[in-house]
Amino acid sequence: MISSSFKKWLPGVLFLSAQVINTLYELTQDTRTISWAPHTTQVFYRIDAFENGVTWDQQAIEARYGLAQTQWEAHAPGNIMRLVATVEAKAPGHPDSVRISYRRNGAPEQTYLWKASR
Amino acid sequence: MHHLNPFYVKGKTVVPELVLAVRMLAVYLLLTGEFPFNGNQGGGRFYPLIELLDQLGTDEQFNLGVRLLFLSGIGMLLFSHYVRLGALGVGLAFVTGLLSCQICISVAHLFTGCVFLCTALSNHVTGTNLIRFQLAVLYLGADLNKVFDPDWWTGASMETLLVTKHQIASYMKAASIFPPGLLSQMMGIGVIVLQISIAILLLRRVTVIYAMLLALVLHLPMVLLMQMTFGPFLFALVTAYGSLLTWPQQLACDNRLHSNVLVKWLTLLDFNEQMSPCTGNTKESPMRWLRTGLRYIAHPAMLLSMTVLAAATVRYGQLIPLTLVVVVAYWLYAWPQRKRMRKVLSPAGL
Repeated sequence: MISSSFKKWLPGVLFLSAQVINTLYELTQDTRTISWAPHTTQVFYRIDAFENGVTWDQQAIEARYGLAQTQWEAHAPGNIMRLVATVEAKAPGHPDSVRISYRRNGAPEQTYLWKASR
Repeated sequence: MHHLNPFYVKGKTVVPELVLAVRMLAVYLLLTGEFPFNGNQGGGRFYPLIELLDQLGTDEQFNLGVRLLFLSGIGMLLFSHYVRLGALGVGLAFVTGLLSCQICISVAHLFTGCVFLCTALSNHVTGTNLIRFQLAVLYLGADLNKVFDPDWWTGASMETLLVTKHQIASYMKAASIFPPGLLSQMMGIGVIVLQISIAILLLRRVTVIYAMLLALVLHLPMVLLMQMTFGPFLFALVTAYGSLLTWPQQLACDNRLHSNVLVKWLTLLDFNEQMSPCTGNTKESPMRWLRTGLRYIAHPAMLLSMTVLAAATVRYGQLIPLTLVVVVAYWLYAWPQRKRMRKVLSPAGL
């Protein structure tokens, strides 16, 4: 009887436990993916890309990264950095460098720089 | 053949409360055009977070596959005996959508998917408890993310959200009464306290009604201030909390209070042997119609009507009436159940 009840509960308990463990794990990272972090962080960012000393135009940046060039990100600054790093690792024809300027919760501006390794 | 009827909620592998919750949520998603990829931006696979999801067909094939999984899941949970299988399909579609699109990360859509997945993992032994614990995990996770962030204690996070980002005039006016930053700091700490209190109250079924009250205090001001329902999040929350209330197996008519005509209509749509007929002829009046509507709110046809109404108010941006309906429904329907919950669970009730 106990065993039958245990079996009925087990899948659900594992599913919920996995969520708690993942939330704790993501607390140690600078990204938020499937963590329960709704509108916890407000990041105002700007993405700039450079090639041969020339800045890419807004349209090219937005088409490449799927984001507005300047916008709010409501999860974590690491999410934008991860996206840029993934795009540059996979998409053809990358720029020489990409600069992400961001302010987290109104704090002083910080910068992340991605550089092509060529 | 019974199971083809979306109003028939009994005789499934999960309790009627869950059947109603996921059916209402599914109808709401269809009416509001919500879809697994509808996160912040984006409309399909975009640099997945899991390598495997990048290797499954072309983008068009992949997106079509997720959409088919989502729609066939909804079809299955609405029109068949296999509510859990349908809920599994919809839940997996949401999770796949999030993991296959880096710009679609959205807590609102993740939570919606989790309501379906918890239903898929439920049975008559677990009842609606997985949904209750899912809500507790949501608030616990949200609270942990705030507790370890100094900006929530200093008020910088709330100040940026409400003043810099959304520039909410009423909030800025209220904040000007206090020393700079103090209201944002109080709000930030208040949210931390509220969220952990809700999580704790959800751990015991007898205190669920009080958790609902605190949830109203937490969420509804944000909906009104920011003028948004956070995609499907608000409705998913309402259905999740609603599933924790006891669905009445019988709805008795009182001919001194209720409308004969409306009860007859609802009896025509009664496929769960829930209704008992009204005897005698009574005068119809708007007050009787209102009382009947409130008394029979748990009738599947009434719940479906409420879902359509909620989708319409969201579609036309009428969030103040929507908020009022939620508060009134809580006050008239959920709040009186607090005593019943104590009675049902107390050994003294034997």
